[in-house]
Amino acid sequence: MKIKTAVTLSLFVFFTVMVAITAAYVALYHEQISETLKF
Amino acid sequence: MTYLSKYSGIAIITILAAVPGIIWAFQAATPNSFSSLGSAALSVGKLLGLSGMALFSLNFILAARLKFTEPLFRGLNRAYIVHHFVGGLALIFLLFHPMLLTLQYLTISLSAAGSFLLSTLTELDKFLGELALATLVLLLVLTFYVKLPYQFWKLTHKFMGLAYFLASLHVLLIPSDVSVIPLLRGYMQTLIATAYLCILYRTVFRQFTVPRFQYKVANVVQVNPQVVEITMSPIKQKMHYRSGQFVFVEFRARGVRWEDHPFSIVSEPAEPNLRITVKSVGDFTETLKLLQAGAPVFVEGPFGQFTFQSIGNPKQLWIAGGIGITPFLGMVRELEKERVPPATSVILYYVVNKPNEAVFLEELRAIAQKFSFFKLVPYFSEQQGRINGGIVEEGTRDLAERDILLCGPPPMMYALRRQLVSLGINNQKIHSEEFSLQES
Repeated sequence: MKIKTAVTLSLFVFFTVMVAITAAYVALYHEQISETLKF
Repeated sequence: MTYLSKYSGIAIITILAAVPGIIWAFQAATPNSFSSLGSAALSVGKLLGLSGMALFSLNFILAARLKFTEPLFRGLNRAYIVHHFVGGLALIFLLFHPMLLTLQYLTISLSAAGSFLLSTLTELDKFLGELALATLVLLLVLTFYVKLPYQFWKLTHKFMGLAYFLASLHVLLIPSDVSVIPLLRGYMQTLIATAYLCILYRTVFRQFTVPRFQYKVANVVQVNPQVVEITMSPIKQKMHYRSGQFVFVEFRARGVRWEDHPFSIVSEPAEPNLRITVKSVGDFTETLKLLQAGAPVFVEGPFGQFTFQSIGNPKQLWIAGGIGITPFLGMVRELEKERVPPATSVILYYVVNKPNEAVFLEELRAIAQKFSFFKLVPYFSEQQGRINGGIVEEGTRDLAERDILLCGPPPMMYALRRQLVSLGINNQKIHSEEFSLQES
């Protein structure tokens, strides 16, 4: 596998997983997040 | 050449990148480190973070053009190919590092994973890591997917130092195995310090630290509408080199960007002057036509092991595609002047689209007529079709006895190598000069 292909796949997996977790967390715990981010 | 000596540079990189993992395995790993999905994600995430950071550090050493990298990688051009691969691998490792740490928390609960992600925005040591990764992703995406002009591509690489600075602060500040295991801390600190020295040497204080020869432009000759030959004379010390090697040249002239670019040397070593032949392929090379005699030039090098002598076998077949003729020009000019070994036999296939693109063809023909050891085969693709391994095999009776040297457009070199290997030629006997930085 070429390194460019491996980088592309890794970026795809990384952003998919991180966006999915963040979206689910924000959807379910948005009140807790606003509390945490309140300075 | 033994397998070990051929791959010694890659072996050293692999070992140095694996050392943090080995230290971690002996000093931090416990029987529970891989006992559950969560602990395995945590352990692999840590290992990838350590090795990714080691690879990131080693890449600055590879890019510093230090003298010892040449023999380890059989030429600076190959060191740069490894540098490109290592950069990609470091990015992959560093992407999976936070992802696996997050997945470890996800095995506990979504709230735990989310809180961990949120903490990367609110806690400085974690935020530095996130910022470093974002910078690295941006810069490497530009490198891998966008065809930037040379000067912008070079600028993006300079900003790698910023990504590295943030990443190193993250490694050294965050409470982790690095902060509690002295051997691991010492190793990572050494790698980071070495990488910083390389950044200072190659980028920040380059004008003072990198040894360069001072030349001045002596003459600029327009060989054809697209190609110029630039002759430079030494101001103080003359650089010693072998024909076929290349140099990084920076012209200090009005109308020309003051940045160094790689060019093959086309003069032969005994000449008092240094000559390069440049084809216009971008903004920078186009401006070189404007150079005037007397313009100061800084020359760094020589680099490369693509020379007649380094191959060892005096029976060689050279295949040049277009401006890829340049390293062979110097080599044939050197063979013309030197006493060549008795068994020397060189066949040069000079591949161009049409006859008027074949620069220096008459000079090469004259040398071929004068010396029996040198045979020239001009090859015009528009008339004869695209060159391939079969055509070369058909035209070279003793092909198996020869070492084959390729220099030209990368697709042509890859195709010829593949075809020649499929015809039974030992891949070890095929040598290519893969030096194509961004078009400049």
